[in-house]
Amino acid sequence: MTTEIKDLLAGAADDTAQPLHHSIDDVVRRGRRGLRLRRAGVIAAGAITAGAVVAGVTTWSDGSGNPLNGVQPAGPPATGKLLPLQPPPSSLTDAQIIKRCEPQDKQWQRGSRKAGGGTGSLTGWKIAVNQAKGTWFRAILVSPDRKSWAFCQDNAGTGAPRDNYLREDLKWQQDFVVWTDRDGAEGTVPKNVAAVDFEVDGIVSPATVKNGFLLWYAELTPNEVRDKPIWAIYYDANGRELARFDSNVYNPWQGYNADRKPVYPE
Amino acid sequence: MRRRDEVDFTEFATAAVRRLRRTAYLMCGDWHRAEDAAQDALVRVYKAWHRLDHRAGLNTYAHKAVVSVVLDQAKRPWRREHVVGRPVDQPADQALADPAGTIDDRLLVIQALAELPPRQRACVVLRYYADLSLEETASVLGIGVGAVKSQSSRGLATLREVLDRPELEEPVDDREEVLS
Repeated sequence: MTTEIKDLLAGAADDTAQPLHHSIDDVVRRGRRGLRLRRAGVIAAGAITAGAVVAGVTTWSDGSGNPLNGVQPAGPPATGKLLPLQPPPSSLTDAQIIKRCEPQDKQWQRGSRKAGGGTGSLTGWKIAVNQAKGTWFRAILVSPDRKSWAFCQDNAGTGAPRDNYLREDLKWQQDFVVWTDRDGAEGTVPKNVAAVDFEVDGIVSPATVKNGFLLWYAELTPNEVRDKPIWAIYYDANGRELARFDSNVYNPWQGYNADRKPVYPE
Repeated sequence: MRRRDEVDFTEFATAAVRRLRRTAYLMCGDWHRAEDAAQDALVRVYKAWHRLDHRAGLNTYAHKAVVSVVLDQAKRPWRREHVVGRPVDQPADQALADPAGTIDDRLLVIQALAELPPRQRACVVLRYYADLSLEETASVLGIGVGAVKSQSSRGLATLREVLDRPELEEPVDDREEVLS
């Protein structure tokens, strides 16, 4: 009978042991911010249109009668969203960071998605790069044989960013490919890369690059970045662009992007 | 949003958040994702607050949003997400203390739901957990009432089979729903 199924569903959804981690105030704040951005977008779009008309008349036509003599107006400018500055390294020692990551590592190893990250404890692993702010840190750990890496995000407090963990074989990493979710991005960088910038809506934010890895922290709301690129732009020591990759997992919002390739300059 | 509207929204959200989270949990089987989905859904409600029918449309819209968020989550390449059964700082003995096997039963239901195709799962959850009407479920999922009936019926049948709960007596209202 359906009443039996209803009882089973109600029992399965029992959340008495699952406290809420966010308050309604958080929702209201996010809602307000969304509305502000939407209004800013409308205003910016209006300004762009007006600017484009003026620029089109004064610059594009160049007053010479030949419309091709002028300079093409710039592309769409930023919507005004600010990206957070990259947090500094943690004041914790490498050993302390590894100790805080061990519980998540054990959880990961009990799970089904090992991805060749190897078994065994984190003893002997090194911290390649890390960032920290307030109660949280995020770090990339490398195995002693440099065949495996782990990404560990640990928050001793409440709220975002939440604990997150990944441990994989380094052979799965593709050059110039990195994915951004709501907390930012993490991954490897090829040897000839000296810097990596992330560009969202025309605003550029440099990632923290060290020891062949990158960390980029962001506080992204998926809705705000849906269907638009978040470019990870890789540079060599001379500042020459080597490649760029649209790292946005929400672009397209409801699509398939696993086959996305880096774009190399001609 | 005006202050008065914000007070109304806060009242609605406070009453709805846990229910939305539970609905999302039945859809995705992960409390963290469920909370994210409930939050995202409520943010959507906040943004649409001024154009919603506050007498009849709020609950349906909120469920529409939460189902949409959960289905979107499932389509994304979340290669890093890892289902953690219990908080890492929770003592293991506390997590395992379940002499009656209640938690096992709950997990079996979640696993059984996970075997249903997303649309069927949504129909079952919305109809038999969230208590939405056929019309409301159809509106939430953007499909016809007939499709809701057939998807719910198939979903229930699969659920019963997986959970080894054969139907003892077909309720009249369900039979009418499927046959009408």
